[in-house]
Amino acid sequence: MSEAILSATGLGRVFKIQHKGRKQDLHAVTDLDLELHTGRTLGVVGESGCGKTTLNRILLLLDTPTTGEVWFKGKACTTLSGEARREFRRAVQPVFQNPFSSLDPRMRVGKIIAEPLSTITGMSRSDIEKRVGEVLEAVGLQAADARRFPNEFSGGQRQRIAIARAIASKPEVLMLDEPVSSQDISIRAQILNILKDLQAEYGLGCVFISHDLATVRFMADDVIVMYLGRVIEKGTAQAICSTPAHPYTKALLAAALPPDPDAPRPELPPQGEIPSPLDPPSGCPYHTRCPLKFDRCETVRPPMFAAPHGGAAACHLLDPEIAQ
Amino acid sequence: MPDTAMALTSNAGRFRAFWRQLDWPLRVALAMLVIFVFVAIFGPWISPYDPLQGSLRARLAPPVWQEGGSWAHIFGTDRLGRDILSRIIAGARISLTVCVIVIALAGAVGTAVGTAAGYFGGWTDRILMRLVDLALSFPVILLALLLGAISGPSFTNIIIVISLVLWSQYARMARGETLKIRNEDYVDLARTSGLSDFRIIWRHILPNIAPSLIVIATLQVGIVIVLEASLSFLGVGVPPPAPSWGSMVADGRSYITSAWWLCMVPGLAILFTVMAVNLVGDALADRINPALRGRNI
Amino acid sequence: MMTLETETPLLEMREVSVRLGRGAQAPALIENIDLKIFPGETVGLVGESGSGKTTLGMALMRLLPPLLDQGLSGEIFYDGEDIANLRAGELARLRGGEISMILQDPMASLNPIFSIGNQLKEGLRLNATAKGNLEARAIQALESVRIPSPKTRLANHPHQMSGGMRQRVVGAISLTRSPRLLIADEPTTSLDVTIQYQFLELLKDLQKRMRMAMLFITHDFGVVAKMCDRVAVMYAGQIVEEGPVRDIFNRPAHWYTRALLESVPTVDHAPERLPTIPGSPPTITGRPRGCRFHPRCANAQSKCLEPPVDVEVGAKHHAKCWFPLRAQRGAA
Repeated sequence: MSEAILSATGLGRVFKIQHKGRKQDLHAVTDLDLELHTGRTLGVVGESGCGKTTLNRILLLLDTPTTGEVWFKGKACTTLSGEARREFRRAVQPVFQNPFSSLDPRMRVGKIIAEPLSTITGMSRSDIEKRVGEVLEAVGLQAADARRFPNEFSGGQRQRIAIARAIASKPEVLMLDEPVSSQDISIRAQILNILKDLQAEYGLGCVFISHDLATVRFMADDVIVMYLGRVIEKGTAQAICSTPAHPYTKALLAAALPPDPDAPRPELPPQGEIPSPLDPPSGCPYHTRCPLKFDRCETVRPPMFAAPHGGAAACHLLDPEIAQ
Repeated sequence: MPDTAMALTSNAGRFRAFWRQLDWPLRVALAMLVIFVFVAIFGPWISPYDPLQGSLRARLAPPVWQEGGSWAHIFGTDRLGRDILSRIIAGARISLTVCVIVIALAGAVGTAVGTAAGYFGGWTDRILMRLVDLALSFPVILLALLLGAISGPSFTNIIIVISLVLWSQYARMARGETLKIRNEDYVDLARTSGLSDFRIIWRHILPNIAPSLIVIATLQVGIVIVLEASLSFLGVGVPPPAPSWGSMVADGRSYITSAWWLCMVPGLAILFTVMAVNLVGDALADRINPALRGRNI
Repeated sequence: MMTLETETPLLEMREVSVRLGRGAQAPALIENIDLKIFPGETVGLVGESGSGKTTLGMALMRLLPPLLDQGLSGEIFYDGEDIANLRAGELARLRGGEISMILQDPMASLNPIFSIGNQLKEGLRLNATAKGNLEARAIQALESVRIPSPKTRLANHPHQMSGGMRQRVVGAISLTRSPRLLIADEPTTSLDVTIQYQFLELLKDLQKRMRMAMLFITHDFGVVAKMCDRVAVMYAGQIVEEGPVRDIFNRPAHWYTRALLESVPTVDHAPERLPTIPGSPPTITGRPRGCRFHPRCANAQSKCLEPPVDVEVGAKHHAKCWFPLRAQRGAA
């Protein structure tokens, strides 16, 4: 496969926070690797506290990792400066979850969409106007909508505006952080289709962050599953959603309730609470909730083992020695 | 020009609709405020006498409704025979000038400090906010007296002293509001678009915190007028013979038993203006705050 | 749960509307709602935002804000008694006692300054039939919602608990007086999926044990499929389809229901594109005449400009549509 357009190696982020009167380290992301290739979508799945938001912010250079590095087209990102940084800003664009928070209420839509273009040199006013019209039409709105304010639009339309903005600078990577979870169900499919169409049309690389395996299955080619800041399973979307190897992924799959009243009961239903990332369990981070745990899980943190589905998972049960 | 005519009628219509929403105290307050500003601006042209020139023959004339008063001096005259109405009119101009300069100065400094503290956080925030605490714990009157003692009463002093007291309010409000806006996704989006911090503050933060700051500015008009009057009363404010309302009250103090109107008239001018300003300011605050809060109604 | 034909409903709404104002022409949040809930069954109320599902829940609790409560019309029978005309004082007897509610945000239902134990005991104290040690009963209540080490938890304040724990406490409080009807308004929307699953299991189990009826308000078809016996689908203030849960999922009769079901992605397969419903749900003042769904419907015809009648399409299964679907889903 060709060189990754965006990748991360050994990524870690520690927040120093004040908790119950004393300073503590919060390991939001630990030792994370990922690769994103042009034209493909990488799904990132996890629940609250798994570090997916921190990961998104690091990959957008909104936050600096404590350890590790983000690579963009083979260049280390923490040292990017001047022209290279501007190029990164043009090429990597986000869409956030909440379209009410992501559009400045005091700006006209045209100005909001043109904002990523303002750092690109050599664009005349009429070029910008033309581009704004183009992208508005690309997401199913009208060029004339550029003159209106965000509060004149519904939630679904606002998210379309946010997408139009994201593609305005002809980016190569889209970072999608739960882009449909605040939307009504009849709107979700519309937004997901738009994103998928745009990705195919422009050959974008997408990172799709979600807590919902079903939308990830629809959007993503490859998936990483995160738990308490670590990747615990990775593989193709099809593999993760049909033959997951890690007990946590199985629990997630069981919790993704199918719209079918006669669905069989899952074999490994989820149990227990998500531990606080301030006080992560020893050994395997999932052992406190795992119905299959044994002695070793409490003391030794499992490395990634090859999984039957072709990917890998961090579970002792996949250790070839134990499997015997 | 039919276009301008159209605009005028629609503006008039909008004004009428706006006026109808107000309850009567607010209407009175708004009218008084308009009169205050009008008088302050056009004072020299409507004033019946020169506020600085008196005639000793007419000194301590009572107002028109008192025995011995005459329509020549509606509010009477002071100990130097100067017309009090003319001095009130001239005083309005001083009050308004002080208000405008102080609010512009304190507003600019306070907003800059508060926005920077809220936006950058960390050490910037800690240092700037200690500065605000310092400003809040400053003994104002003492400082005013000190400055007055060193350089004598002057217009510049009064501006400096009042601004020193008031800027911290803007700083606190600007910081709080900036912290709120800072967490909105559109600020992060602006950063991912490569905008500099300064441009983000200018384009996204300031327009969104402006309404709250305008409310503070309106409410401060009253405080400025009272502070200016108090300092002038203490003799460290606007230097004589300029007719500040505060120094007029001070002037009349020694005649309080024989010619009480010398204190009463400027005192009432202060009272009514400040009340009007506060009423309007409160109404504005009520109108703007729900708009900020009530997003998901 | 099967309901017998002869059984009387625990709750029945007849022609219930909530309008913004008193006139019959005032815009309606919900319009002409007929709904029955029988003892022990779970009725799902599905709809998008603005469909009026929360308003419906509030209306039958008589918890609408005063301005909307004035616009309430129709009849609501609870256990044979018309509660639509009750006064506030008489309602209080029902609210915490026989009818209980769980809302989306557990923090909004708990008082942040009192301990969990304090709030539980308050609920228990109001219960006239409750006898014995309050402390013991509070611990019992926490145990019933499977909160580990309930004794130490009693001293906790809401902010010291996770979202899932808080929602269980809310559940424990609303169940202290053994309600006969529980209204759950999106109780799991703020929870993580693995926590949601456990809460739903718990709720289902408690419902079975206490034999209470439940009105489950949600926008999530997966949750409906797991929890409900009967389903009412709401669109733009009306119930457009109602029927047994299997019929709704396997043989939806209303075009809206089918389109909505098809647009939900599943983990089983990834199609190239998802079938969509064009446009967005109408606002309260911008609702179209005739069938509310016709501007977005794939099968809209001129007949659809007239208000559709409720048609019986199966056993206890009816839909407000001029051209209801009759085929098995996926067969055509």
